[in-house]
Amino acid sequence: MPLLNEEEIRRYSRQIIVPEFGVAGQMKLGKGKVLVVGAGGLGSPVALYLAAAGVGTIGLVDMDVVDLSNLQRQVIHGTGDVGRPKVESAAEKLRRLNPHVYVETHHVAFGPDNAMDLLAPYDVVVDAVDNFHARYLLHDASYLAGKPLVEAGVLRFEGLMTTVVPRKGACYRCVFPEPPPPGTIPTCQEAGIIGPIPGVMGTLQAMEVIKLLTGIGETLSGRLLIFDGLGASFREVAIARNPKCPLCGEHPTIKDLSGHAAGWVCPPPAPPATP
Amino acid sequence: MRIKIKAFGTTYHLMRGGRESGEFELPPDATVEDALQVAGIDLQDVWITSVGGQQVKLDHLLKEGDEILVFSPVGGG
Repeated sequence: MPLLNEEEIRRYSRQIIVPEFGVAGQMKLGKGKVLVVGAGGLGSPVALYLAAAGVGTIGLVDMDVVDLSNLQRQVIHGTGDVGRPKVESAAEKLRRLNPHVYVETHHVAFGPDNAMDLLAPYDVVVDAVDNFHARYLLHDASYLAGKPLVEAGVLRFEGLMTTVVPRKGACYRCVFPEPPPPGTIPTCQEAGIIGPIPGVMGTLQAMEVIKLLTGIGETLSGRLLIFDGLGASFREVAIARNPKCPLCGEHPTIKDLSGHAAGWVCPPPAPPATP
Repeated sequence: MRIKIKAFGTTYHLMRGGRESGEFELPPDATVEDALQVAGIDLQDVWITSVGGQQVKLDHLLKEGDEILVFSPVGGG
């Protein structure tokens, strides 16, 4: 195992001196491979903090291009990036931040046909997607691949997250067995989102990844964490594995990704109403 | 007895009057389901409910001062 060079020791010194983390933690991060699905509001802080911390390989999946309306929260992108693929824009910032990190970009739609192949090389998966279709697909694929998933969703002033460790804690479907019917739950582009909310939740996701890779601390496995930005409060709900869960229960009905529709794309937002 | 309800996610606007939290007067032995009905929340829109940090079912018996958290999933990113 290669030791850290002098530049790396200086770069990571403020976390290496934390006793629970140390050189051993740094080495584990350096060997870590993390796939971040979505390079938007959540993906921005996750990817930035993981790159800054020295996670060895970061994969980015996103098929979108940067839009001007993304910039109030998707802080990895700049005004000059409008129109560029998000993965390209994000990868450039990550490489600039930390050239020791290997960044792999996947400018593709995450679908049932490529999900397992995309996940295969990675140790930990981060859910930073913006719709329920992709969220359930990513969740099921991660579970079937046996990969820990750091899950978060945001809306308006709120964020909700948990960590799913396959066959250990509750999975997302233990709590929310089926996705809501399309159109019944608003997206950020419909209901709005205050920028720091994904900033907070994405940063917490990065912390979960660091704990999963290094083995320190307690993850959110078995717990839902809810951030109420308007009330400035965190709440927590213990969640147990559901024996009737269609994915991880005693008689699972989901054994592959064949139930997920291919080619689904988040519908474009309706134009703003004119007063 | 008086209990509180706080709604998160997309259930926030479903409480009577469009509120996202409130206090309600309920008879003794009221359940979570009773409280949600008093608050005007449609049960179809409720994904999980929690009291005291634990996930509870709709027939969970409430006691004075309980706070019910009502969640629907949030899918934005």
